[in-house]
Amino acid sequence: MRGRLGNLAVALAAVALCYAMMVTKPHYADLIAPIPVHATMKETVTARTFGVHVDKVTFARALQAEHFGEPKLLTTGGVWAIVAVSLSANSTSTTVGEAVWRGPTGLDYRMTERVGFSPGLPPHAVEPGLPKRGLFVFEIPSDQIQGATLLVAGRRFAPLDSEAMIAIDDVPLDAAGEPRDVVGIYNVGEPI
Amino acid sequence: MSEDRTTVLENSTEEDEYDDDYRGPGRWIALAAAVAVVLEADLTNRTAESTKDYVDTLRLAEQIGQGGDQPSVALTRDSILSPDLHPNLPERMAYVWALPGGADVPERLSFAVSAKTYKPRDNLYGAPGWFNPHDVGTFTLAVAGTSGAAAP
Repeated sequence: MRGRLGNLAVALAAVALCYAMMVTKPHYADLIAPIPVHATMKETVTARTFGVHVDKVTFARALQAEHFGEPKLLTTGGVWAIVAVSLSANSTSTTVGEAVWRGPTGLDYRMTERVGFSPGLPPHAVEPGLPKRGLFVFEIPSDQIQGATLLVAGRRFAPLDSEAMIAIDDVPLDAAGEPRDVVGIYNVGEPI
Repeated sequence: MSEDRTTVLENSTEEDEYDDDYRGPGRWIALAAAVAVVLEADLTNRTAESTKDYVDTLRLAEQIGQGGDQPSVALTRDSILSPDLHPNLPERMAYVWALPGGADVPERLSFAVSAKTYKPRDNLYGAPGWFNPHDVGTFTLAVAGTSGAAAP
């Protein structure tokens, strides 16, 4: 009888311990999440395979792009945010192919697919010792600029890899939080 | 979400010229169909991240002859196919159901609206996401371009 009660007590204690661990320990998705590397716009971030520095953020009402050799004007219901970055590879050839504009309240705006592929647009292939410049282009409402963060990673799903998180803190804004300079048409094909 | 108009685009198979907006060289959509049902809808992403989930949100409630299962969805701004829809940036999208020639398109069409449920942790990976698609309703619209369609 005593042994049976003892067994029951051990089982209950194990259940309680497991439940406590389930509630308090980080979950699988948190454990394998990308590892953030925080920085400001003035700093160069060194991630695991690449380095990134934000050179300039430009806002535009429309984009001039090219599709199969034909010029194409891309309009938007919000504003285009064009982020020019300097990229470097740490020790091996690498690709920097993913960027997200995270608004002040945590809304995630993935880089646009509407511009298509052209030199200077992601995915950026970078070689060690050969730094290069590139663009990330986002389509955002203008209320998502103040307090935004730029997330740059090698790939879209990169568990346990590092992810640059750069605070967009050096952009001239007016009192209402709107960008002070908005270009009418930004030509994506121009040299950066 | 507000739906605006439904159109049937008809293209004679002998014709070489593409007059309408959804066909033709240099465009992103080239339909190999003789008839296409086009539904234009204003969509707003109310979630916290860019998504393409809207592709499965609307579907034809009943099949028209053969085909018409999966629509192509184009951004009406520049005809690009199923781009990401970004949070709080409403866009007008055109759902295009390609149908074989001679398909008998009824004067009124029903569309089913599907929704998903947010789970902060899914059962497999414990990751957040939208799961379990289920129908939340249907709506019926008159189809412009069919033989019996009344003037708008």
